[in-house]
Amino acid sequence: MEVIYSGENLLIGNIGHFLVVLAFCSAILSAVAYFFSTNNADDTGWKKLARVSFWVHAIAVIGVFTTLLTLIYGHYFEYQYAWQHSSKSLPWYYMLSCFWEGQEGSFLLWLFWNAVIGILLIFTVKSWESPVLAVICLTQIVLSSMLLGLDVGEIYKIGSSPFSLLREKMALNAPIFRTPDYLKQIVDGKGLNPLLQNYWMVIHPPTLFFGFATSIIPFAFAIAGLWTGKYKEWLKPALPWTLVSVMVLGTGIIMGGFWAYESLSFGGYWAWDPVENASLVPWLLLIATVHLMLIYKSTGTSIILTYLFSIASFMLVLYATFLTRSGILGDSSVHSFTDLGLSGQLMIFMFIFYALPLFAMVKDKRQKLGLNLVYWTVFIANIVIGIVSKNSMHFAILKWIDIVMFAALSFWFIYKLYKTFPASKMEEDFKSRELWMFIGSLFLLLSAFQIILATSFPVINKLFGSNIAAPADAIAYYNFWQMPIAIIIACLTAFGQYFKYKTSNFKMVSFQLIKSFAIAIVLAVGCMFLFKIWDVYYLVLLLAAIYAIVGNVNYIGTTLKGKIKLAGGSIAHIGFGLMLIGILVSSAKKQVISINETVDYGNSMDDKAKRENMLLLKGDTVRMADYLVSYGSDTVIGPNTFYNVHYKGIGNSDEFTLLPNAQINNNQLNANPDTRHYLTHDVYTFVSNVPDKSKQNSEPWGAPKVHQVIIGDTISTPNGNVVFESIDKDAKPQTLRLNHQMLGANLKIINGKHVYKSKPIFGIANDKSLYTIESVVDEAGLKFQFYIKAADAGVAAFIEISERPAIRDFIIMKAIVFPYINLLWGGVIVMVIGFAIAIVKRTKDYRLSLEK
Amino acid sequence: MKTINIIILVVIAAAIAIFAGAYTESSTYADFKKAKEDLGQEFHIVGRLNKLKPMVYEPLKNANRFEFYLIDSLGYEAKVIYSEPKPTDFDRSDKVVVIGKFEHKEGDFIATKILLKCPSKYEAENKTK
Repeated sequence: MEVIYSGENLLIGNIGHFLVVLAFCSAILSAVAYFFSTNNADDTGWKKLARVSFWVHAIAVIGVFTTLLTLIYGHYFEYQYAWQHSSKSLPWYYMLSCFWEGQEGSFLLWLFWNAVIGILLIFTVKSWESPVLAVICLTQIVLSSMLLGLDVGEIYKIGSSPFSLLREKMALNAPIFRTPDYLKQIVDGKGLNPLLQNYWMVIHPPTLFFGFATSIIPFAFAIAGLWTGKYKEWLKPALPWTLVSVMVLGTGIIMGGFWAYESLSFGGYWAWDPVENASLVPWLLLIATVHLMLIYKSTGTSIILTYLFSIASFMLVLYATFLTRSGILGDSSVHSFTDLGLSGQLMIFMFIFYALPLFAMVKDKRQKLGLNLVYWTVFIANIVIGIVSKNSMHFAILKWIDIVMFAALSFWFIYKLYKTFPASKMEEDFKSRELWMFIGSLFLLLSAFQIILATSFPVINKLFGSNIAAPADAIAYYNFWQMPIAIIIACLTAFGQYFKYKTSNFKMVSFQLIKSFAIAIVLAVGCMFLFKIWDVYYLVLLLAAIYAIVGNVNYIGTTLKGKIKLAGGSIAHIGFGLMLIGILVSSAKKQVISINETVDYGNSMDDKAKRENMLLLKGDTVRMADYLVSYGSDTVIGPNTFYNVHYKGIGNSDEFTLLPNAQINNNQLNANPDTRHYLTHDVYTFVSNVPDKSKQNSEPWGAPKVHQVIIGDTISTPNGNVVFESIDKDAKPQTLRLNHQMLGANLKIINGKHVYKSKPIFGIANDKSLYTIESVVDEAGLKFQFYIKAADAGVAAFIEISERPAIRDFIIMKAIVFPYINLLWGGVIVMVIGFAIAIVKRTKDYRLSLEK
Repeated sequence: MKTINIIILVVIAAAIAIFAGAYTESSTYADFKKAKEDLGQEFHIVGRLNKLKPMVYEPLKNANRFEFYLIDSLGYEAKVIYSEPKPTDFDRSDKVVVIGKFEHKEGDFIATKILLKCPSKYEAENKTK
């Protein structure tokens, strides 16, 4: 039966759909036009067409972006995206987070940044416009296809549209959709994941995606270089953009770390989680790319690696997308991933982009034909078998064909690069700057390789049927490899710049080297005492990091004569050194202060067990390291409960209150930490467990015991002593509007050092009938009734007491002191400033070179 | 030999070491039976909760001890002891990965880390179908 629904606003969705299709088609048109414009440089018609269609594309993308925002801000819950990700009570800035919470929104964000980058490039890259934009348009085709939501046959879907209606996404036979005005029943959306309701979540995703998007620029330029045969000229315009990418991606990554530190309760800013790793690896390679580009610019060498790294950075961004979006990470990550059925599509895109450098490279017609034949045959075989076949044998064969083909093509590509650029002679003088930069780049590559290898275990398992999992102590494993690499890279940044390109006067250099190293040693010894680090390995890292700072400061002072405009690189290096010290000290000297000393573990529990969480009863004070900590009260604001945790320094006037909070729904606790920031350290606190009140209140009361009492009596119970202090003759509760006489018994319950008050009531109604109002003290586990009735000597007062286990409000909390973590954040800021200065300088260089 | 070649060799050697290290230091997905055979060695064990048996977490006695029963993929059950507070969304999760080891043949599985796979929003929707 057809139901005609009422109250839906279908127009917005249709506009959205239309704009997605428009963006998709205009991207295709633009790509094709730019392709022909590249191959027929004289024909300006193609270029005009390409530009116009790119503008149409960009406007369409902005339109899609605005439409989705309208859905969210207008609370159009007939649309699945708005219903799933937002709710009415959210403030406007969190509604932005709703936008990028979903998969479609994050692809859209990427699409949007790419469009912005495309427009910027059209205005700035001059002769490189056609080939570079052609590559960008290709990514735009790919990304916008992810939003098409086009049904192919019954099961297969191209992309997932953010403009699907709720009733399309859910099964139509769901009872709610049987009524035409179902919308009236949908009062509110499901809301935003509480973990994402954080200031940093508003700006971290756009920054990160801008970083991801910019990584296409060196890739596109490298392809353009291979394609047009202007093999080397692309480096100059690409350099400032690559720096932009490094700067933005780096900022995005560290914002994610800061968000984790401020609002996740795993106790730190970095957990070597696959999602973090997947964004870090392209960044490391981009930094290496920048250094290789600089080498090339000054000496004309290392062009092959520059190509490889520029291409690999972007391929790794794609790979990262595949890892995080395809659901393959499954068991290995704490992030929950869902497979929207896009993994097949993502594989296809990786196929397409892998082909780009190869096809741009091969000029020989016969080779090109052969390559086309092989590649696309395998490609189609993959798609056909992937869709049609259910036979695992087919998949196994296909898998090996793919592996062999990609390995062979990679080697062939590198071989072709060598043929194109006959081994450019690197000056192998150890007095040359490029040698040290080259080594540094290789170590960055090693670092990236280790991280991506360990992150790819699930992929390796899937490919080779193996069964490996990340090491149980992942952090130790990563540190084992990354620490020596960090030491080497820090040292390289400290002395590399003193050498000139090609060769330098060693006498001059060696004086500066020795001078800065000597200062570094002195400072390192001082820092050793300041930070109280005694571990030799850590001290080496500390020395290396300090050397990086001193070396670069000295370089700015002596060699650059304080010219900050030229010092972008050095400043970034100083930032790196500061970051290293911050990371080292805050993690090596991090101190969990909530160590539980009181619990008797007996013999059964091994003493290795961690005791890092502390029980804090409401009203109690416990000692944690140099603080007296108490939990006084809690406040409920909206969905959050804020726990008032008070810290008082022992032997000093340090005193502060932290409000770690948690959202409790369906017995699930989402805890957010609260941190007291000092210049030299942070006190970080979060609640790791709270009592389940729904269960406790259902404990049954014991049988009541009746006591005859007179004023001043004390009744002792297992849950404390009850003192009958007085009778309140006018004990009418304010909430009751009955004009009865009510007598209240003023009771004082003394349980250890805790004292509670209670007032059970005895009422006499106007018709002289009697009743009682009980009083419950949950914290003491006591319930009281009070009445007066005839007894041996006239009338007497009676108190009836029931018992059950006491309910004490408590929190289980963990507190960590992170010393000198501000060095990390400060280092990041310095590093970003360094990148910014370098961008300005390299852009100027490029402008000047154009004028020449 | 040229300096550059030496450097490249060093880097390749390091890469091989990293590769080898990835295998030797990595843990493996296994079941309780395997973990019991290799006492003291850490494994990843994927399983589901036995909700019929008690999950014990008594914060007032010991905030850092949580016990529950897990059934691995082969249907073998073991008691798991975790020296941390009970993960907060534990009751809702249907699939649990515990990382840890057996120390004694007769002992319980000592978990150092627990990963939860909660039914995601998306799956929850499918169930309504």
